[in-house]
Amino acid sequence: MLKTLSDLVPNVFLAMLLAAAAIMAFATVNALFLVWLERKVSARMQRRYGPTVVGPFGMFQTLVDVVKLLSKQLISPKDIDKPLYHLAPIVVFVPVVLGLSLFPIDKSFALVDTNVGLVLVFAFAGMGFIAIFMAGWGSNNKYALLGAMRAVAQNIAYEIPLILAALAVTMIARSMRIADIVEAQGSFPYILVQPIGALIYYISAVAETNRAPFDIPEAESELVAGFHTEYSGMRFALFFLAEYTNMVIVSMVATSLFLGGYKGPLLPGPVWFFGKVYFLIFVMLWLRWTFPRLRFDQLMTFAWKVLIPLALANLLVTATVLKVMS
Amino acid sequence: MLTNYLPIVVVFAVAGGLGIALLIIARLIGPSRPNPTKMQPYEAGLEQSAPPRIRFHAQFYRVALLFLVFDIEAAFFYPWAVMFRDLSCKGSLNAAGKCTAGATPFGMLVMVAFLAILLLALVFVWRRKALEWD
Amino acid sequence: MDRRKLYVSLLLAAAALLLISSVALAQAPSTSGGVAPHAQFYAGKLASSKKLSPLAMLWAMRVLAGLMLVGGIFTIGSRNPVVAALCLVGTLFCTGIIFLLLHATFIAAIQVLVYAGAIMVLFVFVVMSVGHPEREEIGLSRGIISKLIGGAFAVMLLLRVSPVYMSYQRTVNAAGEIISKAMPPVSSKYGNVEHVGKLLFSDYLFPFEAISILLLVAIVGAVMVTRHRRRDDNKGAAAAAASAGEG
Repeated sequence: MLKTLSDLVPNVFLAMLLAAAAIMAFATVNALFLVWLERKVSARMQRRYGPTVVGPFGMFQTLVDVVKLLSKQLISPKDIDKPLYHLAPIVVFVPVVLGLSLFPIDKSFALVDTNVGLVLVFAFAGMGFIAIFMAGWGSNNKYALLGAMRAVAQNIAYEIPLILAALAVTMIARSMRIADIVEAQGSFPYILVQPIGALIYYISAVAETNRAPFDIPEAESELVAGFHTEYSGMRFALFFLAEYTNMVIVSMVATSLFLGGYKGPLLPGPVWFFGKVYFLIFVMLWLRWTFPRLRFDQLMTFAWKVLIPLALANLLVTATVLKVMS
Repeated sequence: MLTNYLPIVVVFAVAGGLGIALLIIARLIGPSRPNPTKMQPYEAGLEQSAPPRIRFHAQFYRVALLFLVFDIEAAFFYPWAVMFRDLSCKGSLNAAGKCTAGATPFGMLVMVAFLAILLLALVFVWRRKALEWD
Repeated sequence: MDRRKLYVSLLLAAAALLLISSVALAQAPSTSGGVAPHAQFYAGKLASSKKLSPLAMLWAMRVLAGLMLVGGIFTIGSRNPVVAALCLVGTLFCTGIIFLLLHATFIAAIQVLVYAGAIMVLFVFVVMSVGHPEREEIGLSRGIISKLIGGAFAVMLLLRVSPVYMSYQRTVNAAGEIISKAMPPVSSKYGNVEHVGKLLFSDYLFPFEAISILLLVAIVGAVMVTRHRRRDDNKGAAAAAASAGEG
């Protein structure tokens, strides 16, 4: 029986507050860690002299960055759309944190355990589109608006293959409860039965996070910083936090659907789970510092003409194989 | 069962609260010395030349509609995907998920009929070059 | 009538409606007595029974209904089309949570996925391709006829909806159990994916297949509309819009 936090702690509200605090702490520490890791990876890959000065291994650099971001002036440009501009950082931040709470990190532990977990993950991701658009529209800046439009167009295009790839897994596992899907991957993870699905998922997931080589919405040589061009200080930090947390979420989905989640020999479940998640994140960093950026039209046609037909075909083939086997 | 969803509500509230709190802290700690130059929208060092809220090409709208259609299609795929093996079995599945009562093509047919019409749509869009981005 | 007055009057009207319905509910022959369920709820009854008390659900429902009302008012009242679209999303999101309260978990998730995601994006992109939306005056018409028609619809809606609302209240008794046949207790399987799937692929098979035709028509329509417009535009304007639209 899968336990949620409310089973373990007697007072339900205390339990939920604890859980929320834990998630928040994780989101923050994770972003700090990933920023540090990204700098390290980029330095190794491109022989950069990364920040190695502050603290051991340059680890305190991001902490110092936090202090800097907190103490910076919040600049609000003139003629902004006030409610949209001010709400956007919050709206971008909340759904990604919500998404984090949906994954079982061990055989007997998940924060939120619902039988529609997989749909909810995608639903929360969809809410992020709104925030991006609020930021772009509210900023009264053409780069911001262009960046937002591109980001949303790109995200919606890659959302479809993402969902279709996940559906093939759902078909095999016969459930959309994430814990069920992990449990269904008995002795071997689904990446072995669904290699095409896994590949489609991962490509789409990288595109969903708006990271290189799919970072057209933030292509700094064309669009400055994309939809968050006009955000500074802590407001920018919230976008940043959301972006890095988003990487974790798509990796967590990939881990749960294709890599067998918390399953693995010897080591405890959470170790395996987070180990796989951070491995996938490392691959994302690797991709970013290795590949050049795509062009926007290439990006869009790739989603519609390659990934979606491929994902549909994958779904039908999976159905046929399942049919023949049963 | 609904209590399963309560943590989501709490996380929602705490995340929103923290976001607002961070912004308030930043406002309190950080300086606030706005001046007209600083508050200008960024435009690569130039004065803003035109209103930024330009009119976008209708192809964005087309992409959004395509997305909507495929999203709804996916929404119908979810129950099908979950039920597929049940639908392909004449009886009910046993505990291990194996069909003992004999197979039926119903599960496959129901989705092939649905998908065929949508594939027709995809082919139409493709042939009309509506997937090109220009 | 300026906009602030409009908002205030709409909000007042909504508040009055809620008040009246609450008073009506208090008068209704309800078997609900005392505040015991409240106390139990806050004392952590939730933790032991693992079930949300119907009274808590009723209050959740009321709060959500209030939020939906406010969202709806701003959707039709806001001068800024993007704000209006966002308020619509808020309203639809609350609808999703109400589905959840009714144990329709799958529908709830799909509601958030499709409406807060896809429909919203569609609306926003429409606004973006209409051009200079911030200068357009969209809002309530001030003609007497439109007010009459709107008012008539509001009354009709109220007459239709209020009996349902009242009957819901009467189904909750003092012990927090559901007693009416109008809302029988549901099994934990109710409303999940399998349940929806079973119905969809048996009783509703024909509508399900018919939907694909509808989606096909939607796609063809979208392609025709966007193609047509581009051909009709004079070349210069189209090129300008295109280059502006793509940076």
